[in-house]
Amino acid sequence: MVNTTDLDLTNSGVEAPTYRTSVVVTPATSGLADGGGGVALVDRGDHTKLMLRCDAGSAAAAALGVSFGSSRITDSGVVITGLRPDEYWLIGTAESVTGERAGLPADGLRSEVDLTHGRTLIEVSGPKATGMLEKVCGLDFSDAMTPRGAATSASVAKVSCDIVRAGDSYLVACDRSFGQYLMESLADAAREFGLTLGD
Amino acid sequence: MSTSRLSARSGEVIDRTKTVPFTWNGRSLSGYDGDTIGSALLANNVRIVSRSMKYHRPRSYMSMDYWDPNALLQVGDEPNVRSAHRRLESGMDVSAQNVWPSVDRDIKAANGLVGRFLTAGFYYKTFINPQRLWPLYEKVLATFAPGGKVDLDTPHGYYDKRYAHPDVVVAGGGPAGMAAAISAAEAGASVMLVEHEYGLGGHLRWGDDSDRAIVAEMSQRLIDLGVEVLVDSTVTGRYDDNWISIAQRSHPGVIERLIKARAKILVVAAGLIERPYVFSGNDKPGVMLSGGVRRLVNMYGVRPGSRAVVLTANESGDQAAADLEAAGVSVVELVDARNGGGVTAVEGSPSQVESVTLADGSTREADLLVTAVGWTAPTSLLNMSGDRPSYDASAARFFPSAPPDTVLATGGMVGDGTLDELVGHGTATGQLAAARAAVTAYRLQSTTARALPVDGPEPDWPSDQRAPLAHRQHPELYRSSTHGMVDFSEDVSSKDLVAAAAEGFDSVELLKRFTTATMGPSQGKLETVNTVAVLAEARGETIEQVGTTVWRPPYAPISLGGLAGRIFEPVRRSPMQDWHEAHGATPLVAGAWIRPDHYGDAAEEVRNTRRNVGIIDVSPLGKLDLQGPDVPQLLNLLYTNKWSKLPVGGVRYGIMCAEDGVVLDDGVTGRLSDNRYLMTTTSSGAASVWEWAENWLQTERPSWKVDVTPVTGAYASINVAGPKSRELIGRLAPELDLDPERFKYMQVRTATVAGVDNCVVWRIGFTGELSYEVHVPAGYALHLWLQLMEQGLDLGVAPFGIEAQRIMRLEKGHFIVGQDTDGLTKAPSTGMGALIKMDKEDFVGKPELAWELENSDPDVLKRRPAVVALQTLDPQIVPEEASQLVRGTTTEIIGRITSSRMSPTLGRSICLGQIEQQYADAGNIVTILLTDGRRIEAEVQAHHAHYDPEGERLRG
Amino acid sequence: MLIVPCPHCGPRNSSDLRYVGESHSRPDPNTATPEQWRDYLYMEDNPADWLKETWYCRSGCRRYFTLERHTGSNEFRNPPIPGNKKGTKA
Repeated sequence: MVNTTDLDLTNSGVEAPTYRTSVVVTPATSGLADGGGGVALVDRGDHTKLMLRCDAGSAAAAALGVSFGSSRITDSGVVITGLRPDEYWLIGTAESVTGERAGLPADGLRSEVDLTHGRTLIEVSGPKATGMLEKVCGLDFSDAMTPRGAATSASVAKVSCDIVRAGDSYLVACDRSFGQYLMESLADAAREFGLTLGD
Repeated sequence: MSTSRLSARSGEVIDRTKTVPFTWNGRSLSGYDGDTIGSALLANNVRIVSRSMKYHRPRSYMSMDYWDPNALLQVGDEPNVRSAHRRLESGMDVSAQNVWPSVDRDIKAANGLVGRFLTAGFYYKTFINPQRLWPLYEKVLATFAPGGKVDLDTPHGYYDKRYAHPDVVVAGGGPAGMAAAISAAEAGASVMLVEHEYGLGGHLRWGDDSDRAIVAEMSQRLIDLGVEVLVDSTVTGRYDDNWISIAQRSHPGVIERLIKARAKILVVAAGLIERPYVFSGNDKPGVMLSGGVRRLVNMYGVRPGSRAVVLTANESGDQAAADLEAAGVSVVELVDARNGGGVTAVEGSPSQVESVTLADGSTREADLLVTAVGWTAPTSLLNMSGDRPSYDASAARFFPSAPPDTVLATGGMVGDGTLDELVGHGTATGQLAAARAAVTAYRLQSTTARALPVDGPEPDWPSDQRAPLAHRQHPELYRSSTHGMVDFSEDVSSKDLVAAAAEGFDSVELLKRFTTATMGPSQGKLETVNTVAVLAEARGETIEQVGTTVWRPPYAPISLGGLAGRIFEPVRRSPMQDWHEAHGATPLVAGAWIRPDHYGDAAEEVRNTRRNVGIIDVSPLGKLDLQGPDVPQLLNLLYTNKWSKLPVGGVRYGIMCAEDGVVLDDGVTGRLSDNRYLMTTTSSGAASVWEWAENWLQTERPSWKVDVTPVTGAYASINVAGPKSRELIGRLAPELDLDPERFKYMQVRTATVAGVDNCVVWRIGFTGELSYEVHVPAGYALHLWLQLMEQGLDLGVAPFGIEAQRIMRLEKGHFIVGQDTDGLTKAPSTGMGALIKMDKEDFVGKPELAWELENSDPDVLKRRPAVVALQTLDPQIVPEEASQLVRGTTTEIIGRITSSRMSPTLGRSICLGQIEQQYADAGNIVTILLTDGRRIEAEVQAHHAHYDPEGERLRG
Repeated sequence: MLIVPCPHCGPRNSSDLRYVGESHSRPDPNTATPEQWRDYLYMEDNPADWLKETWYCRSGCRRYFTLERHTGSNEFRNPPIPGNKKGTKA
């Protein structure tokens, strides 16, 4: 879990760690942001991303309540999604993910890896979000093929990404090392629609 | 200057209130908004705009559309602009191509005088001998090559790309295509309508007021239905499963945009292209096609001549004659081919028709001959779908045969009829397309995991119930009794084709390649059927028997920028890369990663690391989290050595082989807890080792319980190396027991470092020094890096880059998979035989290695490669990597240098290399052939390590 | 571009997948002769006919599966088989 609170360090010479996401706003991206609002891109790198592997048909899988290719949003605001046939992700604030995780039965829960640091997460929203994604990804984003709640993986601007259509926005996640590049690619794709960066 | 512009006409597409200035060969001219470059030039009485490719004959506009073979011009820095199609823009700098000194007085026209030498195959036959002169020939011939000038200083333009998933793509926005788009959209389909020209309507655009009223009405309907209409855009190709490429030239802000559309149904409504007639003088300025004349008069208000002869075999010719009369052009003779009339020649100056000779031998004074002799169906997209068109002699054209059932053709290319009949066929086609698309959509949706659930049962695949369009009678008119030009772009005449057929090039595919007919910028749109007809005549066969060539993508040219689209070059950055760049690091591109090569002086970085302590960012190191009870089994399978007894806290090095025994990757794996391991791979092998492990788990060992998770990006990796590294780590991880007796070389601990929990620290290293590799949760990596720099200040800490690491690993003799090994290096050749455990039940590559180890044929054994360390006898010479090792004074290759550097530590040149085993004994002197031809000697070393071969430093 | 029917994701562009190769059974490594092993390593049937082949859904579900494709028409037949014990070539 991300821990940005001050730590009680035994060695007083060492500073408390500062968490940094992979996405740095560069002149390349900020120069494209005209506040037009057709597409809004928000770095959600501070969200906790917990990956679980569960056996099919197990109590744990049932409690997660999603199948491969779908997602739901819990009352505490956590996005739970089935991104691979036996692979589930919990995405949200540290506290809410911890809470959801604590409520899961142990039966069928094979393994878990906290990939908060490993994944860049960009939230894409705005009236032209779909139009922008169609410029960087070969998936069919129509409501029939990628409805609200849909979850899948695909190449986005030539980077392997997970894509979840959560509520009114899309969550796009990639390996952290590609984060800066992905942000710049999405910003460039969005520029014809008017781009807003950040909340 | 004089103008050929007619008075304003209803239906013209130009706006006479907006004057558009441009230059032609430096001369200032003007046209109107809505003009093409070509219509503006003709309005200014500029008629000769190009010279033909081989003979440099003066040429003028003929078809006034994209395919006009005489219309390629240079516009600014853009060559080969289709000037009959391209809209005029203010300030355009337009000039003629491939002419010297000018298009009006072109010296190369002398080629025409020796024209009889330039028949088909002339270049092949003439310049083949002597071969040594080819470079000279090439240089001279290049000056005669057609085409415009490419300006190498042109700035990189912004191109774009997008994907689309319409139910129906309609290629062609004439009446049938518009009708198909409308009816498909009315039936609920999402539709993309793509029109090559700037406006919808096809031939109705140059028709009468009622035609244009219909276009306006249908256009409005398309808008109301939300059909995505792309004008000045071309469907350039159809590939497997209706993968459609569209070049969109009309998107604002970009030069060209490539659309990759996955259409459920493709409707091809490409219309018909008017065919030129072959007769003597048919390329002389003043000979035009009826469609070109109608466009010029009705759309642009330009008079194409003053006295015209019209040769007509169809409605288009009749209407052209009427249009000319209405424009005040005198039609001195209407020659009706349906009643046996004909034209055999035009005469005049090289640059102007002056008279027309009719079939009865009489002549008419005229400056314009208009021909309307038939049509070609541009079946390109159907060809790309697998269809082979068939010829109907009574209608004098090819028709589609049997396209796949996801591709539907409509409009003029499938038959003739009144406008109502064409629209009716289009409407029926659109309905069928929508109904079939609905079935495909159902199948896609019902089989796609993420999609909405479908309602009800799968609908039946609708059969094709469309009433076919009739094939109207049309005389077969290809060549008159005289010879003339067949391929205007390539300057290939009917005589050339007949001669080539007589030489034996009498299959249409051979003829095409030998003569280059149909291979120029028109790509056969105008000349394919004439080529076939001339060949059929030469062979004494029918057109049907000869058959036609196959049209391949693209339907129309697409720019290289358009093909590239927006440039996607993914770049991977570690959390510390910004810091490296801010501190003077020279970037090194390694795969997708950007890494610090050095910070100014790699040798000093080596010395400091060996003397004090250095830190290096090795984040690209591949890292896999392995969990589950069967991890040891997986490790036993993938690595050549044994893993069953690795204790918690232990780390082991291993080599992976492919099934053929060739080294695939190497790295260390540590056991973090009972059920959890961390595997590292080479930086370049991270993805492939992951897929490799998944492959074994999913296909051959599905019962094993192992979960593999790539965590390369999750952990940034910092190697802290040097004699003072323990001191530095100790300051940052006060709770970690670093006592060398309890935290030994090749052990791993999980620890809090610089306040960051869950760091993985292991005592390993590539440098040969005491070193700790810290894998830190990436969000805190920069913090740790800064703390290492700060807390190590008094210890002399300094960062080092990839180059320093490469030097140190070479000093230490560590090989790099892929650099010191290659695609033929089997595991025993690496000198790591102790790590190959043949007594294991199985591991990947075992049978091949067993055979390799058991084979005792000395002739084979002695020639196997071995990885060895080498030192040149002259310590100051560093042989280039890939320098060959040769036997004695011969040039017989016995190996090569795979890595070489000047060692700052030893003050001498050091190498790794591969050499045949018969020469691999320590102390052997071998010859290195340097790239400059010098031969130097080197001695094979006893150990791979040039430095600290006993490993005392790293174990300390 | 071909559409490949992934048994988990559904139809996908072939560029989302990696073509692994023809599906061949891996011989028992302890009993296979060098000839059998090399036949497994290097020899392909390459028919102009129906062919069992292995694909990896690289950009999607990351599952290996086997399916039957006609190499002439690119049609697929029979449902794809997840994770089949076939096709372990590099």
